[in-house]
Amino acid sequence: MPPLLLSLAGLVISLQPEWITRVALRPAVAAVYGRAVDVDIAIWHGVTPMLLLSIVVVSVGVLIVRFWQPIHVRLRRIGWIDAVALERLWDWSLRDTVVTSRRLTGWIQHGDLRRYLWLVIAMMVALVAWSVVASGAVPRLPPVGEVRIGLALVALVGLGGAIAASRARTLLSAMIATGLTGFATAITFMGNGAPDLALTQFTVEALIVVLLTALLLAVPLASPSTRAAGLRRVDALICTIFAAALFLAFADMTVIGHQSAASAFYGRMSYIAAQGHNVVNVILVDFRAFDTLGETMVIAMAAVLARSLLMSRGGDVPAHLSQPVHFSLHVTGRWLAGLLLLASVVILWRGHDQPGGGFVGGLVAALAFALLALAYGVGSAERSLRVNPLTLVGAGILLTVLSGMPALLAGQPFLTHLWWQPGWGLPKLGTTLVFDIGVYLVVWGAVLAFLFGLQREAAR
Amino acid sequence: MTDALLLVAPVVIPFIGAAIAMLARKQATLAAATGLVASLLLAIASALLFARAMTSISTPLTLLGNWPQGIGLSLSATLPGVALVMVTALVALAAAIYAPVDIGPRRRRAGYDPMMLAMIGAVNGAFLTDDLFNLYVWFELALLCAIGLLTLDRRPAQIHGAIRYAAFAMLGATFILLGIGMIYGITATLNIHEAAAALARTPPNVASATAAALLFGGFALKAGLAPFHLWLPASYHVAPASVTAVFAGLLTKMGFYALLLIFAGLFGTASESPSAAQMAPLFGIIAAATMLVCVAGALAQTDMRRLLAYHVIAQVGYMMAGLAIATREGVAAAIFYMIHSIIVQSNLFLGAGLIRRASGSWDLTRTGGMVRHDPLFAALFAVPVLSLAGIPPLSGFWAKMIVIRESLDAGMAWIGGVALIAGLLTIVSMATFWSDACWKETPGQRIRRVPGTGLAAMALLSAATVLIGLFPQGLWTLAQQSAYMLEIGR
Amino acid sequence: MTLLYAFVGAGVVGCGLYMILSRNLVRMLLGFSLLATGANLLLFLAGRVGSQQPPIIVEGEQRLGDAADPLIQALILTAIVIGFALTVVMATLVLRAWRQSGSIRAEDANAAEAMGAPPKKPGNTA
Repeated sequence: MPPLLLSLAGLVISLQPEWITRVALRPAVAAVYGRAVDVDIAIWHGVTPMLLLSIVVVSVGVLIVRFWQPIHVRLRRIGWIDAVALERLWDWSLRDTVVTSRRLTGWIQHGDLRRYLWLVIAMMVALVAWSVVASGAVPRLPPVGEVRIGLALVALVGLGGAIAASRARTLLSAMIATGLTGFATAITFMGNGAPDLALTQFTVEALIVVLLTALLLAVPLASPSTRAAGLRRVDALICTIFAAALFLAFADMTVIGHQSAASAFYGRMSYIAAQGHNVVNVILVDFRAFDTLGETMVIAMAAVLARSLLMSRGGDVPAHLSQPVHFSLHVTGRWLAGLLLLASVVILWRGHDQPGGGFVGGLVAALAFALLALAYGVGSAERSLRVNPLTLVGAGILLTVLSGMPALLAGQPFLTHLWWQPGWGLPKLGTTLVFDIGVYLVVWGAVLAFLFGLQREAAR
Repeated sequence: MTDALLLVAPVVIPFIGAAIAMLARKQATLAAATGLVASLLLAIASALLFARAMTSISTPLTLLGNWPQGIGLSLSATLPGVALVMVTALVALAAAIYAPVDIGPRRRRAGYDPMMLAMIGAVNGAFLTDDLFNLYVWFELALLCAIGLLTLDRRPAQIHGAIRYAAFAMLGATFILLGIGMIYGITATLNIHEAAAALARTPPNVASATAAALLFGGFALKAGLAPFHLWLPASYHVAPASVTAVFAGLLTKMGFYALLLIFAGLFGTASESPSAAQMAPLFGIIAAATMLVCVAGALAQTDMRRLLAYHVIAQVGYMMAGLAIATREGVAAAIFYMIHSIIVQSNLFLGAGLIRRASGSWDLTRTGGMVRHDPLFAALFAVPVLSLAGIPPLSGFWAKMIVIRESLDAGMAWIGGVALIAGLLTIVSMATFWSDACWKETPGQRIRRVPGTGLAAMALLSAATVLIGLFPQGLWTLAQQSAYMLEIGR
Repeated sequence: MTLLYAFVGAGVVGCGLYMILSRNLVRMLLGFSLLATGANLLLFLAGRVGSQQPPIIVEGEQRLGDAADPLIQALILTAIVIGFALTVVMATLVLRAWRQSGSIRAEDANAAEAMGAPPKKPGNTA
């Protein structure tokens, strides 16, 4: 039935070509040529070579149909046609293509994660090398300048920690060495005029230790090297080359004159236009609040993931059964946690004018509950929280997004922060605080989601 | 509708939806409803934004926080970003309509809706932003949501796939971060246009060469270009069909869009004086390798999802070929291909999910019989299959033809040749795929009914493919305008 | 100091990459943490190491004097927090993998690639 319909359609169209020319042919040809082309289709153009060719083709077809049997008997008698056998050629080449593809793919996609990552790093090294060499640039080094011994030693300790971590025999020592590098970095930030960074790095390192402990308690800690000595040397070589390239690139970068108009603006306008003394915090919640919104969503989605992947039920895990806790922690735990919680609120509140802000505040609040969980057990900590951590996260996102809305109602772009001066010596209030509270809640809730989940997993 | 509202809507609507879905996570139907409503609102907002961008003389721009341009963050409705937002909304809507097919209450409670909505918001943010670091933040959000969506069921295959995905993605993200930091160190700005102007003024130096390489490597990894593509066949097939459909349609294209933005926009490879000219020869080699290796990979597969996953990357190879043809038309060809590919790839995965529902297996040796048992599905599925193979008059034909034509015009005929060979192999692959998945009849096979919502979702995407195929001129003009805007943004 | 920080930062990144290439998933995880830390340190250089003054406007003043670059600090803060989230997510994945398969070796975490893999023998083709 369908072939009959199609051939009837062909017949109808050729008898009445104007419709199809207008609807389909002209636009299609115009699309290929990029401009309008006159297309003219008709059945009869006079006695043209095309008409004669058509007559020849139709006649041959009629002859084939008429002499179908004898033609095929004849063809079958000719032997070499079978030998060439185009059908078999097609099958065979198709099968060969698939077999070759399977072998090639099996070779490339071998399944070894280590070799995959090695290829990525090696390829990256090759790309960087090509780019630098082909651009014809020569690396320059900045002048040595003054050396602050204390900070220099701290930085070298950080490097030492990284090297120790890569050579560590047990996972626990590797984790401790990594933590050492993190703390050294935090001190480096502190010494170079970045107190917010130092605070955040310290708290993050502390939380990573707490959260990774759950992981490390579960897995075997002693782990001999998984790579043969030769392999390790090759890996070390590739990584050293990459590190050297990064060193040269970043050193070269510092030679270029650097006048950040944006930073100058932030320095000038943070207090005057954005009511904040802590320029970094003002950047985070006001100047570049959209970035922070995105980052808050990252943390929020991590919380959803935590909830989905980790145990959320499983009853109470009494502290004294999971890990031995000194009785002093039992006695003072609640007070310490309360103190930390209070500190977190203070950090949140004063963030706009002094080091602090929503992130660090949320992290410290989570630390408070980490302490509670350590001292009294996960179930008790959850009950003290009263709400589900994901509710905190959801509320936090709504606060951050909604803090940018009043501006839209006032006809200004999203996230333009509005301020309200209540007078009577009370501090000024702004939508930045709402934004920061939202960040606080999200960070707090997310870290707790991980904390409770991981601690339950560890105690299983 | 003010510009300010329209420009942030594609990001804010999904985020608010995600927050509500998170608060409502205990009730699966409420979460599902939130997802659907948010997708609908997003589609309307994206359409309005697109219309506004097309009809206004100057590019709609909103300066977030009301700070001066280049000081604060800004979102602008330039092409191709705003067209991609429109296509994203289409795919998101189709996925939301399709979701009831394979996302049940358990997956909803595990957080499907908030993570899917947040991922869509991140993709839109990347398409609209003017700021390098903002771009990076959206990529990280998309990564995290992808990990969450991959592991919805907590099955071992999903966890292992997610580990591989995360390892690659975190490595790539670090390269990107280092590259962006270096660009800031060189140009003292994070705004793409200002940085492009500053880069054009600086003589070649080690730092910008390294930054170009790092950014290329990082985003090539996200886009799935060879040899950075190994994560995709290792992880895309473990997720449910509606999730993989969105991944296949959007995530790799997000990475490719970033490549376009960085190289055609920031470094100006299609202009007369590119800032990172040394990278250009590599583009062609990588594009050719991706096309050939990945189509070969697709030919080797017997699992529907793995086969289609390889085709996703092979298509990115075609787009890269467009970028490798360092002319404005080449970039336009890449953009045309990108838009065609997003719609077709998502549709293919949705169809594969429905075939699985009907025949009970992902394995091509056990599927079949769709043509006889469900002709409507077969007709709808034929559209993306034929389009991917490049059969006229569907969108794939035009996309491939434009890439090959531009390669010939620019004197890089070898890329056109490779594209032709890959195209031939793609036709072979799709022919066997169609015959195995839909045409062949296995005696004693039980074919279940295909849900109507799935067909509706496919109809939406197939209609778009057919529209592009019948009227390619509109999209081509759009693509050319996009290439122009990417370049003059400098 | 710039040279020293560049050296230390690059070194930490190198060590992180070395650990990422391990076949032990937990070591790989710690490697990613080191990688992030090293990258943040290198990023700090983009704002130029110079002034030790924190970018906080002194009480009574209207604008910032000579101080460290606040913009790069805001970026690094964002990067630290995102890196933290990803590290913890990766740790969760590794923990789950350990619980399910009893192994933290990367080659045992291959259920994804094994799923739906094409048959070894060239069986069904066209």
